[in-house]
Amino acid sequence: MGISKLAWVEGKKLFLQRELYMALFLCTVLYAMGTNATIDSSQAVFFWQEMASVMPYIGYMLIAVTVVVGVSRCMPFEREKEMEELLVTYKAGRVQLLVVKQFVLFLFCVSIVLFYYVITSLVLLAYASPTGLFVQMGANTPNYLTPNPDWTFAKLMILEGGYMILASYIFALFVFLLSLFIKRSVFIMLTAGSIFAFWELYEKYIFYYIQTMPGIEYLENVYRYGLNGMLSFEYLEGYVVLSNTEVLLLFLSLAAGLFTVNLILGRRRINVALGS
Amino acid sequence: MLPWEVKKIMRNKWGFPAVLVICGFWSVMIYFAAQKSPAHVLATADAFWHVLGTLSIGFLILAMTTKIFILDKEEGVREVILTTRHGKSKVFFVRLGAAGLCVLFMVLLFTAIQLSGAALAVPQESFTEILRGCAAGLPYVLVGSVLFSIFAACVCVTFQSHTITVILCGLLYGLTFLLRGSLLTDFSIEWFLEKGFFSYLIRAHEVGTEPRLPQLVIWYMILIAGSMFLTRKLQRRRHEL
Repeated sequence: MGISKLAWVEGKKLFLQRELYMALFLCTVLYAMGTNATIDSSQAVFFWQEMASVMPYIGYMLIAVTVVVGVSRCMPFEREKEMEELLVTYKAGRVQLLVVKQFVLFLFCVSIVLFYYVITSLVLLAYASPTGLFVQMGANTPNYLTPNPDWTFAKLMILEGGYMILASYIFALFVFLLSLFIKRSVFIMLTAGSIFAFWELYEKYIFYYIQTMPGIEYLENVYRYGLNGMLSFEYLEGYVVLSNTEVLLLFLSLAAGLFTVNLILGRRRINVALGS
Repeated sequence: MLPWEVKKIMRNKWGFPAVLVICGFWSVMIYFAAQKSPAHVLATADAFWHVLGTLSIGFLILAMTTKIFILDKEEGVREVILTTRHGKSKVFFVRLGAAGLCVLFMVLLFTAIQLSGAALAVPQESFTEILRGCAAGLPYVLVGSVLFSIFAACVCVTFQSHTITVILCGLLYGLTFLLRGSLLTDFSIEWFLEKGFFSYLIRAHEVGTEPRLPQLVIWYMILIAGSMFLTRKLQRRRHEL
């Protein structure tokens, strides 16, 4: 099978999961409600300012949920359909399959991020017109981010979108890595979801109880520079000394690193499973 | 039959590590609260079900008790169960009973963990206060947990998928932590999403002073009766009873 056809089949497997659409429906309802809640009706709504604020406010959590649901079945699909042995007979070997699966994950992340931006724009269109994309931000900088006020909204949106795609892809690759060690998709989902939820809860609740703990700053850094910090735009909030371009380059390197690790471990795992 | 089903639930390998993790977290929280002041220990002990307890019991219900409702399909013995003398109806109710019993045991185990952690860090007179607070919240926790296990079981039987159950119930259960209750309008969609899916009951803290408690009770009755009715109806249509 050619690579393009394999990618098409893998994409179909990923995008045709009914679990994914169930999660997407629930997340979309929540996201629309969350977008609505951020708008203060007593003030004029600036379309692009709100658009840029919603993603770090609630969007990243729902993207994480969607990614966990989608990716957790990507690897165990063959095992759950009892056709894992068939893969061993595949002429092109397992590496090609792993490369294609991870490439399809990238497309999945792009489409999920774009989907949430489309939902935001649909909700915001009820409150404001989408004018001023090429206007400098000035005093209308979005919440949760600290961009240069001289930038136009267009530049900010490109940076935010690119950042979100890369961060969600790194998260997807991490879930993929977990799926090499856990057999069943539902437990991959529970484990990855629990790891993400734990750090979110740490930041919002648990920190209050253990703030006197010696070394708490290390835990803070684990949150800030970890997967949750990546997804929640901590790298663009001014805590990190890197410039925006450097942050994107760092993310690209991390994604490439995880991609390679997944390839190496995924290739070895089949030998272990088959006892050779 | 009931002991078999209980054994099936308890054999799940996620139970023991989850309890160990909870013990670890609780020890850390109590230890650092004790470093501050006895008042802090009281507040921390009182807040056990606020986050840690609620999430743990939710996780265990979804990972352990709900799994027995899909076990037949996963182990490929669904058809065999359908040919049994009493059909799936009896199996379903016995499993509900087993799930309820296991949830009851888990809640009591977590309460014991909560109290033993607090007992080590506070003097005798303060411990009585913790005990009183714990006893006041326990009925809500028990009712919430058992109802959640029934709801999750119904969703699992309806969709015939553990994954869908985890997504659907997990998201609805976790909404309490995302929505801000004090800012909600009564009986709006957000209000139902925040308070109407069991975690609000299990958190126990706010439900004791909830002004809309009677309406909330009616909502839970409708939710459980509705999901049971729907499940039975679907089972009948699938000729499973």
